[in-house]
Amino acid sequence: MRPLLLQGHERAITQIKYNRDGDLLFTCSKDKLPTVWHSQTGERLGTYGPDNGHNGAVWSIDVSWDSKKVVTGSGDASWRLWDCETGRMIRATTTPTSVRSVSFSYSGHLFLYATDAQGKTSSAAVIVKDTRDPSHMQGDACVLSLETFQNEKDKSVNKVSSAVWGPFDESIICGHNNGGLSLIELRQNDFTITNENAHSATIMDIQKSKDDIMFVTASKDTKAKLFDSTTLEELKTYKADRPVNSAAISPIKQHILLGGGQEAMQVTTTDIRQGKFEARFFHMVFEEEFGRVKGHFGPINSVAFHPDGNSFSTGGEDGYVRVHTLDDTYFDFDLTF
Amino acid sequence: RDLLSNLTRPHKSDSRQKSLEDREREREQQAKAAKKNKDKESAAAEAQRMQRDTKQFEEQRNKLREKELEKQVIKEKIEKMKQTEFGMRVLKELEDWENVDVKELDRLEQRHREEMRREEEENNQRLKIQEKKIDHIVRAKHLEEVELRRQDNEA
Amino acid sequence: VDDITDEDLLADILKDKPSEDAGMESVIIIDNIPIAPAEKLDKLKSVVRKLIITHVKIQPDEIVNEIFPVEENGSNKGFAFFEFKDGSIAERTKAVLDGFRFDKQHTLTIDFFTDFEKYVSQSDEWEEPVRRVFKDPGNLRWWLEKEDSYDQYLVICGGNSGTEMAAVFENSPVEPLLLEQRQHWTDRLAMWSPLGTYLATFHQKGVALWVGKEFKQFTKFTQNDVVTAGFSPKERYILTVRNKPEHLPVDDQSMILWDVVTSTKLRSFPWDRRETPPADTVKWSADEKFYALLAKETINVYEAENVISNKTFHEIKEVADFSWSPSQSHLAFWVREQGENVPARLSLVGFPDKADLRTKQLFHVLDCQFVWQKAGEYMAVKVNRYKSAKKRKLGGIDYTGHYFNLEIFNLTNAKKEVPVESIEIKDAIIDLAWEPNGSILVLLTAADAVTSVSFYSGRLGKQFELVKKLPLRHKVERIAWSPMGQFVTLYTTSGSVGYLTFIDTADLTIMADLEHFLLSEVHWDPTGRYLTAVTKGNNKKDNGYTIYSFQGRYVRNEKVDGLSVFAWRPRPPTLLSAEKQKEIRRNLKKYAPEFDAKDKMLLNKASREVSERRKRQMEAFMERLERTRRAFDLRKAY
Repeated sequence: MRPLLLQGHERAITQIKYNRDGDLLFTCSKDKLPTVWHSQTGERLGTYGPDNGHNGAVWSIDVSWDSKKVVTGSGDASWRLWDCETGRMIRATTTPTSVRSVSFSYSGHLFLYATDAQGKTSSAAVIVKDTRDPSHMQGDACVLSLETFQNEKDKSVNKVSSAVWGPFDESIICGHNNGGLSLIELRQNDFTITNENAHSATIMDIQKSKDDIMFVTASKDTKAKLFDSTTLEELKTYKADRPVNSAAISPIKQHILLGGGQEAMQVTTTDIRQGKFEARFFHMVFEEEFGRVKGHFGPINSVAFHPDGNSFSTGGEDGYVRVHTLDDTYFDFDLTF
Repeated sequence: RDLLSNLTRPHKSDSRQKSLEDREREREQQAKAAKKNKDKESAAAEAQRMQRDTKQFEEQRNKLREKELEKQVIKEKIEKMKQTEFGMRVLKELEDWENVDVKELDRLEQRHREEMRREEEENNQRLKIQEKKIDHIVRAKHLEEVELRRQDNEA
Repeated sequence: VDDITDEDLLADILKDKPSEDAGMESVIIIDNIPIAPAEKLDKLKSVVRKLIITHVKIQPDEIVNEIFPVEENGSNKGFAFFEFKDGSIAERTKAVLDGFRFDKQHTLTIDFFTDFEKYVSQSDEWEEPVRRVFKDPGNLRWWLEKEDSYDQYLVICGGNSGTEMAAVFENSPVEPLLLEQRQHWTDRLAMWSPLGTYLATFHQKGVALWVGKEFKQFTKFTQNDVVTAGFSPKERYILTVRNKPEHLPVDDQSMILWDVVTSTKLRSFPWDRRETPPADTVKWSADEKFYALLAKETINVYEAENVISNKTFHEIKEVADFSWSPSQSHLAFWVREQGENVPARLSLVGFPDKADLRTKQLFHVLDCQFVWQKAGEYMAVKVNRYKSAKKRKLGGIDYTGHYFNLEIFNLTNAKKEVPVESIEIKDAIIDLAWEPNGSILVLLTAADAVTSVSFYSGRLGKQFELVKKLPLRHKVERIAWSPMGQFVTLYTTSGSVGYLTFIDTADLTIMADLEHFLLSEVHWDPTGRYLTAVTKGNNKKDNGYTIYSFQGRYVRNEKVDGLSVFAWRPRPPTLLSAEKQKEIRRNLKKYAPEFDAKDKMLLNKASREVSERRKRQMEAFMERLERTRRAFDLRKAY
């Protein structure tokens, strides 16, 4: 089946996310204008901005479980909270540095955001805010602010490149730019589990399984890995021979979806096929690749499964979002054992 | 009376003349108006006719052009078919290559595709047989040679 | 497992040990010679040589060999070995020069090498260089006696020197089977001998050969800084070549010829050019009886049997280039034209009788290239010619009107004189190659930016003629014939996209036309069933190799980071008679059921293995997940 091509963004897509019902697809890009689409038809429903909009690349987007609020984090050093339906900005707060990652808690009241470190003046931080508390929305007040992610050995600061909520909203799982993973328990302060050697290069994306029991990481080290979401124990490894920017777990099958490709700078026009800009399917348990979907002209920066598992979307450096419906051959196929 | 009549005659004749003239003018005017009306009508009719004609002509021309285009497309497709061996085989069934209609072309193309598929399958089959044959030759030779190698080594 | 150690690979002195066959009694050691820096070493050598010649009263050619061991910086070590024609000269030299006062500081002492050996063998630091007892190396052709005809190949990978991993695989169906893998097996490269018997590895101190099922060390040849080596066609001899030391104008020990089985040094060759000599500087006749070198426009042909004497068997002067037949002792060479009146000459000379088999004269020749058919039945000479030449005012000559000639020497009839056919080719010839066992000559030509492939054939003793010329969709530059003939692959390695075109010459059809990214090399397996496309080099991404069938069907791809060598293990010529081979082809059906059954069994086994592995993986994973889930549920309840 031909994929739906969502055209509208003028620059590279940075992240895509479905809402819980899967009728909406939220995308953000380096072009400052986060956009919401009807996932079935590809109709562009609206944008968050330009009124009160971001002034820089938008790195991350998330939507609350009830599809009422949208949060975005940007390179303009701010996060913004939006009314999902009207597109009206509810709140914006500037941060010391770029916001790399945003994520709503399961409850939908709390959200976290991760900011870059910048030299020695501001350290990398993960901050949790409560949308119900006006003081959180206006000032520096927050539920939690974690500012140091120091390397045990050389005391260097590990930027948080990706962050999500752990199981039951009781913890936060961070992926770092040195390839390490850390899990911070919210109620027991200072209780942290780390897996320093999860990857050997920046963790670009973390996505959980439907039941939160495990999560998949995507890394520049050309691998995606599956981890236990309470112990950070490594369960499986998926080798792509190109940097992996995003990985997702199928909600219905034991499949892992990978997106990535050679970085834009390193790709010449004659090398398009060589960049391997394909979305790739791996078997979750056997770690074997069994399918590829071509289409993008640049690296894939973000992949997402529809909550019903019957379709998936990819967002690329080429500025396009492609919505693929999985056909019978996909559902008929499985690695036998 | 006569005088009177005479006296009034000019008058009468005048008036008569006048009325005559009036009548005449009236008639002329009426005729003119009628003519004008008639002219208008005929002009409109003419314009309509012209329009109709042009339309008809254009339709005809479009039809012609379409047909020509169609013909050209058919011709191109046939030319394309001619380039392959199986295409030629399909075309051999035709008597008149110039006058092929769309329906027939569809049928031809269908046949062409089938031929192509068949050819590909045959080719694959042939390659498979060849691959197996070469492999078997190498293996058979090796098999027969092993004993000789053993003897050679002992010597 | 690293079987080779530095001690193993020879201490310094042993390296200069003269050949044992020559007889130890004719070798002396002169000690207490002054130390000279590298640039004065030659002078010193000639002084010592002259000293011996004049005082002992011998002819210069009675000195068979002289060795002045040198330090890292090129200065000599203060002692030297001299080998004479016989023991009596050695004795006379000791008598005359032992205690000779060389200069104020240096008084020479002279010992017989045999005595010296006795002396050093008592030292703790010196391992006695015992004469090698002949050990049975086991079956050297073991891999040919394996039941299945899977071919083996060598893979070397790893980053910089020292981290190399060398491995030998068997190209078995389903997946390659690793036979042997060793870290530090080689310091640089490695190669198979021409018949596949030996695996040669290169080290700082020399070359080692490995044989047998366990790849045990068979022997080693000591030469410091060795970079390459070349075997004679039947593997009896090996020539090791070292990097030319910068400080030496002439390197006397540049190339060393060894007997492979006895591992004795036969002779050395000097080298006076800047760049290191290539391994084929010494070229062999097919029967290994003769070897030849071209130096200073002169071919010197030597007899291998009389290697110790170093006497030239035959000399041909003013030669531009030469080439041996791959099947007979025929030597082809060409001589440049001299001025306007003496034409260029293409000649074929037969050995041992030095008979002129055929000579052809041609005017307006710029260059010649010999291309032999592997069976030696045909030789094509690609002649680069011009229509006119004009002297430039500032010196030099402008040649215009370039074209090519093919001069085809037909050696199919041994009794008759060798006929030569001439074919003119107007387009530029990019490459040409003979079908190894047939009479098809493939030519790649370019004209107006279009590359074409041409097939010439001279079947049934008729004249060679163009059978077909096909324009190609892509630019290709090289020809690789299947070793069994009939199938030929055209390819290019320039640019990021490599192309592979597989052609069946039986019906001249293109079986496959493929793109292959970053292609570096292609290698046919020795049976002609597979072709490997290799991507290698540190700068190239996606190092590894892809195996295709001879038809261009993808078989498998293996990624190998830092791949530096891929080489199929050669097979020696078949032992089957032509009759027997024909019979096998005729009765192929007889073998088919057995092979088919075997293939099926293998496939079943493979799929069974895969499914069993998956089953295990799935069970382990589900069990692991169940544990987490229980902990999870507990927490949820809490």
